[in-house]
Amino acid sequence: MDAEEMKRTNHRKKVKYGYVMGVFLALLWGLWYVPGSLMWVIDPFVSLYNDVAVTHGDIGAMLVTAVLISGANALMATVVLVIWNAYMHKFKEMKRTIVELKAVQKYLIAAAVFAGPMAVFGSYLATGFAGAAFSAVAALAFPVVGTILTTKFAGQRLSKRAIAGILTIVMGCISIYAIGLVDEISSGRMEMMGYVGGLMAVFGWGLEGLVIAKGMDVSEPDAAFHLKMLSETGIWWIIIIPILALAGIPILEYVVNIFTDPAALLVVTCSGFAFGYCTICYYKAYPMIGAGRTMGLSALNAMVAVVFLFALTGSVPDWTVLIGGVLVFIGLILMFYEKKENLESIRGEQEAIE
Amino acid sequence: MMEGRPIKFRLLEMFNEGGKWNYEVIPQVQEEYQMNTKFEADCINFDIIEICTAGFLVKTETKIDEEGIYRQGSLLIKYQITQLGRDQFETIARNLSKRRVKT
Repeated sequence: MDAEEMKRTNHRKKVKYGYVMGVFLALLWGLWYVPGSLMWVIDPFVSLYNDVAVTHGDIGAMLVTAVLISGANALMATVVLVIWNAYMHKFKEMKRTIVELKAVQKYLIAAAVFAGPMAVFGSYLATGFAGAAFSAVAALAFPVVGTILTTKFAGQRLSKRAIAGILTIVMGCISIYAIGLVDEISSGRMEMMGYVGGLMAVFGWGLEGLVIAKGMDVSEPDAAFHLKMLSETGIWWIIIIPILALAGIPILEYVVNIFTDPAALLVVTCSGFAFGYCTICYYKAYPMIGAGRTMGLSALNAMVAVVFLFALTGSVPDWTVLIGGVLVFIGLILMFYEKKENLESIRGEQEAIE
Repeated sequence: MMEGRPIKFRLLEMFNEGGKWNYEVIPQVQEEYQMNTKFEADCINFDIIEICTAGFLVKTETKIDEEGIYRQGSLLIKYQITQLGRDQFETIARNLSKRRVKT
């Protein structure tokens, strides 16, 4: 094998690595929905919900429960990532990164704010005031917003074929919820706050995509995703949960139960594992195949979740999932069989200077 | 200026000084950051690949390591910085945190 040929082989391997990470991202994210939805039906989360519902209504209870679930999830994911980074020897790099507040750490904190409170509150506001299908569709549309933002503001380039692939995958995943969405719209019960929530969710995750794209340019993925999860844990546990407690919501009473109830601890740990490793794949795929393709692949989590939830809980999706499956397949083919040279750089062809 | 700061900062600085081969950069970073294992050398190589994919570097020359300069049979790559890379380097250089002076 000559050098030119080896260079091409290495390049193909690199692109394949990026795509494998993207697919694992979707698998783990989809798998996360199993503990993710279990948390809503077990204690202490159910007791918290019922308790808050009496004084603040169902939507208030849902938002407060979402805070505790997200907080527990972020905390466990951060703990799980300690195992990963101990193995990867990345603690020193984390220390070097966290002190560079203006050059890189600000992006990771911003990612935690956008993907944490903004998107989480947004998606539950959308569920509460508009409907679950509307909320899911809003969440799945984020790759479109994210792709537009990263091409406009982070200088990333995509071929027409890659864009077509991303759009087809997103449309495919959205079609899972088509019937539910039509029902919700025709019921006429959607409220303004629901749309605001939908926008918060779609822009929350889209903006996270943009700041990660900026952050990943100058930081190591392993250090970066751990610091992002650490920042998110800080936001939930140092800011939001204490604020709720000060506002008189009895959230702290239930915090201890997460760690003393073996069933709750097991579910939260599984959620932390799935979410932690999903984050690893997300941040590893970014620098290799770019923001747009990674986000497009991540939308597949909806398809994976449908399959897992069907296998484990027996919940049958609408028949439109079949149309979704076909569209997703076409989208993946479009994306994978793009000319590999396009991925030499995620910012188009570059030239050496000097 | 970038010694001891995040690895990608240092790598951008080294390539900003001029085109370099990966086998020149990797041992230098290994020494500066005390990353002595083969695994850590691979991590540094991977960081170089990432900043190249970001559009900050381009590959200008390649050859197969026949004499075992870095690792026998591996592909040696020479990288050169791009305008985007230089702009990125200047941006981080302007935004560095202040270091505590060691006494």
